[in-house]
Amino acid sequence: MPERCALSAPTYPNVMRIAALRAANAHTADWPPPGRSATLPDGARLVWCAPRVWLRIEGNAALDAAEGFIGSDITGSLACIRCSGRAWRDMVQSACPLDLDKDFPADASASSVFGHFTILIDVVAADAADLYVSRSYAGDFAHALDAARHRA
Amino acid sequence: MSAYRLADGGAIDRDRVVRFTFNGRAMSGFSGDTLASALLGAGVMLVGRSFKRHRPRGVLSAGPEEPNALVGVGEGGRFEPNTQATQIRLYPDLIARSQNHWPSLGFDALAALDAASALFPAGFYYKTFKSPLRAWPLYERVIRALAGLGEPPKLPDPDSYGERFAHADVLVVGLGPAGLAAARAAAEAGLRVIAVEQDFRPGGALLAAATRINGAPSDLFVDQQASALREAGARVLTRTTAFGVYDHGLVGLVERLAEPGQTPSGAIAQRLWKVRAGRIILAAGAIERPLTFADNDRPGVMLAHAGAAYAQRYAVAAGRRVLFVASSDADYAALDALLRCGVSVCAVIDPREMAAIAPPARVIAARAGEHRTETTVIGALGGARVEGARVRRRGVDGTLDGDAMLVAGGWTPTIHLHAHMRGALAYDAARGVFLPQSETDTVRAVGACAGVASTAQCWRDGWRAGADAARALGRSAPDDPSPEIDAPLDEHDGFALPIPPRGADKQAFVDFQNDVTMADIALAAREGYRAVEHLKRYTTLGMGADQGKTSNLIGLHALAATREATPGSIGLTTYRPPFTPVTLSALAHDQTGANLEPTRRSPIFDDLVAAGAVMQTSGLWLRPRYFATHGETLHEAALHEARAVRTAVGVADASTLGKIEIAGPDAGALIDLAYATGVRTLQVGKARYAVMLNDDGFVYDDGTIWRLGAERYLATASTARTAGVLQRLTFLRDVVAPHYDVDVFDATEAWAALVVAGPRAADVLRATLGDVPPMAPQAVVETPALRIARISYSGEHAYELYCRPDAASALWRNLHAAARAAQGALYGLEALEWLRIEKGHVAVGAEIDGRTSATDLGLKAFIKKAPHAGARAAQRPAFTAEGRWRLVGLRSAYGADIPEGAPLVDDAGEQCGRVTSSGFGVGVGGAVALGLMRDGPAHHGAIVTAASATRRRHVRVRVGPSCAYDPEGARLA
Repeated sequence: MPERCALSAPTYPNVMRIAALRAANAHTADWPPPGRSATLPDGARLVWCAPRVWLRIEGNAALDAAEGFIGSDITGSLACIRCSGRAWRDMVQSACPLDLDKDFPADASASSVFGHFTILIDVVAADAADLYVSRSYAGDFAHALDAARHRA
Repeated sequence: MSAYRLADGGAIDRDRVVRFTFNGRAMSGFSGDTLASALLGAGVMLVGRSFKRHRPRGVLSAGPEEPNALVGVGEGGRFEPNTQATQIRLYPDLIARSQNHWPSLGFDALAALDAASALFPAGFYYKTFKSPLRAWPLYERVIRALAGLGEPPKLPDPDSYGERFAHADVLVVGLGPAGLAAARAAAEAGLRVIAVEQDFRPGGALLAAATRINGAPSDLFVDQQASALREAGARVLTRTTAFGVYDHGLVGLVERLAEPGQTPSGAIAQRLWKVRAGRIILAAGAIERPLTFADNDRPGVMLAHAGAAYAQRYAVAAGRRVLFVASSDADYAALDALLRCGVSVCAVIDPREMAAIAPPARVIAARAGEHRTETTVIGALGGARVEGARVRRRGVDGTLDGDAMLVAGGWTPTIHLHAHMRGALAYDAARGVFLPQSETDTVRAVGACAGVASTAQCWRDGWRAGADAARALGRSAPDDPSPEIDAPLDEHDGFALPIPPRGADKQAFVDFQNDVTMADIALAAREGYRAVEHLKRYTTLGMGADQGKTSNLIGLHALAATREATPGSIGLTTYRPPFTPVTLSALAHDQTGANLEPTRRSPIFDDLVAAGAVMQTSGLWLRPRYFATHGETLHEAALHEARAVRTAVGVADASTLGKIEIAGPDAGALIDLAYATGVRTLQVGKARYAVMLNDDGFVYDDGTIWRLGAERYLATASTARTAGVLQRLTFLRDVVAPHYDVDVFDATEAWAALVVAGPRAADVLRATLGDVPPMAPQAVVETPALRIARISYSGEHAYELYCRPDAASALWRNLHAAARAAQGALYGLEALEWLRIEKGHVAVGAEIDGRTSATDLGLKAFIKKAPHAGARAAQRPAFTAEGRWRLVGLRSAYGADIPEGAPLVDDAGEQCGRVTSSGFGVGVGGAVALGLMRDGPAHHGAIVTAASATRRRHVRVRVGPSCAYDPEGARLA
């Protein structure tokens, strides 16, 4: 398994949380719909994470300045661990109840759990996903993922 | 080689000898054996003792229904008791030992209980041990010493266990002919299929039969089907038991990756699967029943098809002179397999007339020693192993010699998993069995567990189910390859239950594991236990590790006979998960030790540890209780830290405090709705203490509201209540006021929070941050990287500094250095607790315990008159009635510590309150506490006793205002 799934060390990316108020309705049509994410022209990931809420991860565009949006800089609040390799889905499903094998391709996103941890999954490529967890859990989450990698 | 190991055949690897021990005796088997087959192959017939009567017992079956051959396997933490020898795949150096005997298996002193069994009928303990009453402790000791089956391991399990979620369009349980067909049809239609088989090899009954399929032995056909399944993309899990079916297509599986007692060669010993399946096809087969006759439990009495399985799969003969007892034509298939394998069958016994026996069966029987028709077995001969049978033909009794008896008592469909979801069952009177009656979109039973008799019919039934699933999910169903199955006796139905010999025999066992006899059932019925659930509890029929897989139906028929009712009118006991025993380690999987619950760490956790922090849990968080910088005790450290705050300055980490941001045009309206404290007039750049009520009117949490902008607020929450406060705010927004246009989110982790408190706090702030404009109490300053509020929990001039997590470490170190220079110190929760107690601040858990109102806590001044959540409930008369316990401050009258949690007792000896928090008053001197006391404020000045029974301490305390330190607030200015 280890050679089939690699885990990065936790990173703490720049994250802007963007919530759309009603006035923003007209501007969100092109944004990733529920359960999806996208790569923006500046390289940032725009990840749907809850109804009317997205995370812009890395990147510098001023999306949050648009009318009707509330942008909150939550940089450092999320730890990100990248799982890569053809077995990443098996590894995550060792403790995540989501069906990652069906309709969960690249640019899919979902909030779920991994064991005790609340996680956000962003599938950045067919064979890689970024798992986000609250910063305070980073140490234990990394440990749990590593253990799962060896158990899967 | 033992005389019981056949010269050839079997799916064992004779080149790979596997050595093991049984009761310390070195033995050997072959790779591919089970422990049961290896023991039988070695000629070991006596493998255990029965539960109550300690009768000698041998292997009865070849599967998970085994009631007799329970052994302890492994050593140390890997020791596993009550393991069925039929379910252990033999591995090198396996250590097994029999159980439930003393001093040895061969000579069990407790077998005397069997000789005295007449004194121990069903339910005897209910009648025997009720008098004299004073003797019960003795009875209890003896009963406890004798009760129980096997011994639990005494050491921790050293292995790890895994968990796995999986999803499937179709889950097929059981890979006999029906299951193989269902799985293959579904998989070849392109569905996601998970197919599980509890054996270590797919095939089910095909592995034990002499059936030829497509002109080849059936095991070859099985291998081909398993390969086809995998090629079609199905996930095939062997050595995996579906132990329970739950709501919404959830099925629990346990996959054994190591055998009981075995050191895992891979990473884990077992894996718990939680499968969500769109459709569940149950192809769990059927379980053969024994016959009921006197001494039918003697070692050497075995189920007929189990005997065939041992011969066919493991090349083991159950005996050298086998007596084969048939009940139907279908049973002759097992006889055929035995004879083909070379097992010596000296007699075939059948209660039917020769004319009633199908010609193919007669042909098979002719190959055995003799064919005794119209003959009934009425007893077994022998002691530690069977030596023959007592038979009766046309009223004349006789005996037959033999060293094994293979008995065929019909089949019971394995309906357990169907019943887990309360699937309806119908009684088939012709066959005497219960069959799944209804099919749902989710669960469908096929093959033998649905009452289908022949191999060919099972295959077709399974294929139809797989194809139907495919069509239901919009796929085209593949054509049935219709394998040619050569089984001349296949069309004969073997489900029917033979009529047991008349009479209630005390030696005719129904439930082998619990020593329940036909006589016990008759006695229970006579004594009024006529419902099947009562029968079970009174006799223990169907309890234990096997849960009556071979006995329940026989017992039900016996009960029905006593009532002259049909089993269908009586019904079955309730089947509940697990289908077979599941080790607790598998259910716990990796959620043990450090994984039991994760810990949350502050962004400056490493700095805290480096500074000597001794951590304590606060919810899931680890927070510094105190800083052990000079080898101080907890009390000494807390005193040192609290004094620093009172006299100079203290620095603390408050990152765990909840920080919820509320923004949008209706942010103010939502806060006004959610909090009982008015914030309408709160100016931008100001903070205010605020109270949140629950819907029941009691205080839920308190914190501060910071107004960061015209439409932006920050609400702080107690560490333990952050999730609840967030949930409450979102509930109010989404359900109570969905017209509000407002965003709410938990920003706790986006900001580290550091507190600087004490008379020199402003100096430390300036020394660390440079020029900071003077801040009035409750002022808030915000920059993109920093938020500062001048608010205090300690009663001193204080600031809360919020910074980005990545910047927190540097800020902490700088503050620490500046504090040191100002004769200050770091402080932890213990000092914080002392400081807030003498200041009279309430805390969640201690004073805010879900039963206190704002008035109780002296917070009435913070409750607005305008409508807010919880306001109506808080207006109930009981909230303002006299006699409520209300917040008071307590001072130790004579200096002793005040025991936390102690009841407050007045001079009349009546409880009048309790101590909620206790500490040392650094500012006021002496022990201080907060408490809730009946009409507390009316009793200021009174002296009562804090009486702790658990600590065996009584301390006289003086009642006073909750705020003992600086009640005017001069130090906050």
